[in-house]
Amino acid sequence: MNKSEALLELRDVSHGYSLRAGATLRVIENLSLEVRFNEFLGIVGPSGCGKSTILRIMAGLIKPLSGVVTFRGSILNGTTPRISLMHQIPPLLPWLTVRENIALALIARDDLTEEEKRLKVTQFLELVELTGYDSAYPYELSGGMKQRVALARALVTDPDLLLLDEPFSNLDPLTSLSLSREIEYMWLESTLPPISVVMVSHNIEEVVMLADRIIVLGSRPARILAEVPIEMQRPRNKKSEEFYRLVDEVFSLIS
Amino acid sequence: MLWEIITAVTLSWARIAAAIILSVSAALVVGIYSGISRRVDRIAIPVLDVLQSVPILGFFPIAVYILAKAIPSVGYEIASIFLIFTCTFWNLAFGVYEGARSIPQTVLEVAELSKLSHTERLRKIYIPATFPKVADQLPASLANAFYFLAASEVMALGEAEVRVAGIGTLILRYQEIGNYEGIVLGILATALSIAAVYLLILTPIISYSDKYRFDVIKPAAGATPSLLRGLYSRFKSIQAPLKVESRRISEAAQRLLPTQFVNVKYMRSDLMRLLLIIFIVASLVLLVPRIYANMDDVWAAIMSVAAAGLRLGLTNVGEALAYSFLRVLACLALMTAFSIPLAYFMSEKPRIRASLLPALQMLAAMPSPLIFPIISSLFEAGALTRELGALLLMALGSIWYVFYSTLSGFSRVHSEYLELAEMYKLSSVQRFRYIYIPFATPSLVTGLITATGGAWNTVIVAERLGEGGAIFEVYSPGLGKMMSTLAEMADTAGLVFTVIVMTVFVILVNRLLWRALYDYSIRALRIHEQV
Repeated sequence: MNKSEALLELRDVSHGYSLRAGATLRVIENLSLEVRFNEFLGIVGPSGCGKSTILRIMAGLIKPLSGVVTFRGSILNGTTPRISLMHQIPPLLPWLTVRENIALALIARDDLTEEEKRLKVTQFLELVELTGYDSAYPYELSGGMKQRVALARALVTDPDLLLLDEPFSNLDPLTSLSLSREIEYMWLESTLPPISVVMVSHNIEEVVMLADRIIVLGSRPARILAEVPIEMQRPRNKKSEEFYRLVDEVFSLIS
Repeated sequence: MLWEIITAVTLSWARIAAAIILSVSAALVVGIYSGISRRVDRIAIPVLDVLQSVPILGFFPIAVYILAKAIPSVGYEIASIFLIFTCTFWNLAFGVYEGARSIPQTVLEVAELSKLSHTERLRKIYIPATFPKVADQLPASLANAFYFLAASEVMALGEAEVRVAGIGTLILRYQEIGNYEGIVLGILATALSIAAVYLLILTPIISYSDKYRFDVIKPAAGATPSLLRGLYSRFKSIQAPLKVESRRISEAAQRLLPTQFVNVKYMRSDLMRLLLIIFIVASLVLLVPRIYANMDDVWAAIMSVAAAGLRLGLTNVGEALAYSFLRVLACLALMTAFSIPLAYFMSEKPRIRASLLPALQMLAAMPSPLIFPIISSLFEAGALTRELGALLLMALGSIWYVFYSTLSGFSRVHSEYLELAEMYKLSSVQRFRYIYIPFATPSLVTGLITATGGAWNTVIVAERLGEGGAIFEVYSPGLGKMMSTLAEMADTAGLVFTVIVMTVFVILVNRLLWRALYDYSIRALRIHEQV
């Protein structure tokens, strides 16, 4: 097996949607990038540049028109429990309780016993600080709590890679700060999933706060404008000069 | 003969077009105003609900009689259009109402802030916003119009029977004289004309209406046959003013309304309902003396209706009602069993859906006389198959309401949920159980409510079928059979009595059973107006 350094790799990936017979809207053209082991990768770009499409290609939800996606050295064909995606607006099923919503991720797994599934769900409920909300329904939760249920659901499968699609864009600043700390903690903690995280966002501060490396995308069709390594110490201080400088740098690359 | 058929098809289409235009206009007016004004809502929706569940076919002889007497020259034409209207209006009206009710509050606030005038609001918001619902409902309306075409083109009261010229009556005549070539040609011509209208008019309208939808539409691959792409790209040039607006609105709506569900909340006022029943009974009472011109006393009319009730025997009527109710329930079970698997299959396979929908549309639009031969052979075979034939006839009249509602319920499942199912590798059964069924339940129940009305209406035809001079009826009792017999004997008092019995029963069941079921499903699924 090819032991590459990357956890996940996109090679020459192009994708588009057919508009009318003949015409195609190119969303991504010849994009190559890698997600390394133990990396928090941020992807920023103007809205509508195809960030979400890239994330869905990484998740195996969309098969690109051309190019190759490899995960742990082998070609990615469709979805796998090893890769989880957290949506911008958490699609929780209103008729299932918090526990049932999280358990949904394990429902099709036959390598775990019911008891093991139950324990796992309990463990992640605890991790996202929702113990006691087992039997609550989504409509009874605040936006931040819903997002945490979605996080627990994304992590309960023990994924190697967690993909985040604008996870904080619908939350108030305080809630998004605490959720971002939670995600950072899970990722840093080596006993917990995931190994690597990819976060897509148009909020530069958010990304600078969390990422090891930022890929700046240009608008349609998406291509890489720049790559910015962030080597700041964690936990990062939003008020430090270095932070401001990095945000400025990324900002000037986009605009 | 060919010329005869072409003329008949054209005449029928003219009638149907008139009825549909009338239905859409009336549905827009009633639906929009009930959707936006609490006061209108409180009155109009219960009225619609009652009228919809009233066995229309039972009223027809009376209505036709009045119209024909009032305007002898065109009375029958108008009556025929009116009959078609009653087949096409209800689902449109409820669809528009649902559409008007689900306009996001933010959009209405924008209209308020920018001080749009009344007409501007109608033109820029209400009509465009409810347009997709109209487009969704048109196929069902059209199918229904054709299904009942023969019934709508034949008007009978007692011995007298008037037929207006059209393809429904023409096929009926061919059947009576045994002109099989004519029947086949007539069916072919009808099918062709429906196919043409579906492909050239309905499909572009439906695709075009997608632009006006508030909810996120999953990119349905090949939802429209490519042949038509060019055609409606021309339609595209017509639209412009609302495009930007509606996109901006839909973005806001996505945030506000992660899931939109049908909200049928029009059962607020029991008092209103009671008043309505009184109103209907009163108007019936007022109609009867007109028919019995020699009896000018209202009391005498009431007494004659009551006497008719006693004459028929209350146990007989009760028994007949019970049997008919069982038939309606069986019919609903049949429709659900048909609709859910097919709608599920079609939502999972968008490509098949694209090619199957027009075929289904054509199947749905087959005029009922076409299946009479099949039904009557079932009727001839024996008692049990006779019941089956009646069931089939009832189901075919309104199965499309259930099917299209289920389909639209399934298409409410947003792509994020399907991605979830894909990520966690849910099996088909799990997908169905955890995602599709709960999402579609409110729509399914709404469809069933509409279909119940339809099934009760068809009971009259289904339990006692006259075909080519012969009459087939179910062996067991049935209220429809009773009504049909009474109509034939021109026993108006008896007919009125049975109509009242059926109406009251239908309303009670509607109120006690269906609404409760709907509310229960909403509660059990934790679906709240703004999730």
